[in-house]
Amino acid sequence: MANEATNITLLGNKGDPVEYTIATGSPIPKGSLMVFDDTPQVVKIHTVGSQFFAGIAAEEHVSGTALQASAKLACITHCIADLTAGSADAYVFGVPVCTSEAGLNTIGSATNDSIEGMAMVVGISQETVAANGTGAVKINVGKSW
Amino acid sequence: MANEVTKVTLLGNAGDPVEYIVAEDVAVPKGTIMRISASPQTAIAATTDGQFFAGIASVEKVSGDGITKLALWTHGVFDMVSDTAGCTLGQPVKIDTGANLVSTADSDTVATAGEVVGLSLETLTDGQSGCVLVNL
Repeated sequence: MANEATNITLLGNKGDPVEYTIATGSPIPKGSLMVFDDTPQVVKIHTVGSQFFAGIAAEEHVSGTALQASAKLACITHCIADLTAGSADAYVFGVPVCTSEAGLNTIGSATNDSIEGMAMVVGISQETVAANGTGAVKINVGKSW
Repeated sequence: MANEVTKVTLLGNAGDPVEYIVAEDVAVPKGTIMRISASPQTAIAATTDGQFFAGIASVEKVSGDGITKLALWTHGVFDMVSDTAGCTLGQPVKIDTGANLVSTADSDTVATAGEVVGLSLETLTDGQSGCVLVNL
């Protein structure tokens, strides 16, 4: 895929991983931004903006092997990681960021709507980043911002 | 009481318990959703919409046991019961009216973030229980 999270520094208790349900047979690279897809607790890779953020894939989910039978994936919910801004997104340090309309694992500045729908917030930017740039984001899923 | 919360997964350091002051002559079942009731750092069982969430009682407290401190879990995944308004996958939930009930938060609740209990990991209707990610 592309733009997976890198340089992940785990916070809390080893990144406070939460186990979610995933579709079997679909490959998921380690570091993918995962969003809620269905109830209960089903997640998928982020594809477009305005999606509820669930965490970062803690490990790769392999398709086409015996491992594809696994329908569970641990997602890191508490960390600092380098994330990539969307092609039309730029933001400054200290602001909340959300998943981007630019798609696949990219982020952009959060809006009032995405902040009020709190789970759309991925984290707080630690750096000023230009479009397509990469910078650190502090992630703490479910935190009352 | 009723509808006490069930622990699914403790996150952080064993659920990041925070110790609050409680009344000595009050019984608090384990798993009770607690609210901040007075300064400093005093908590009682939540009962209605608009109250500020403090955490979840990690142990049972018996009335008249001489104990005035109670550890509340503040970080983890917990099974909670929805009120009539229901809960929606991926959206924040708040305390609702009734013993240990939650429902989808509104804009005002989120702006006053202390009312948010956590992030719903499931869509729930009245009386259903499902997982909520709590992270105070």
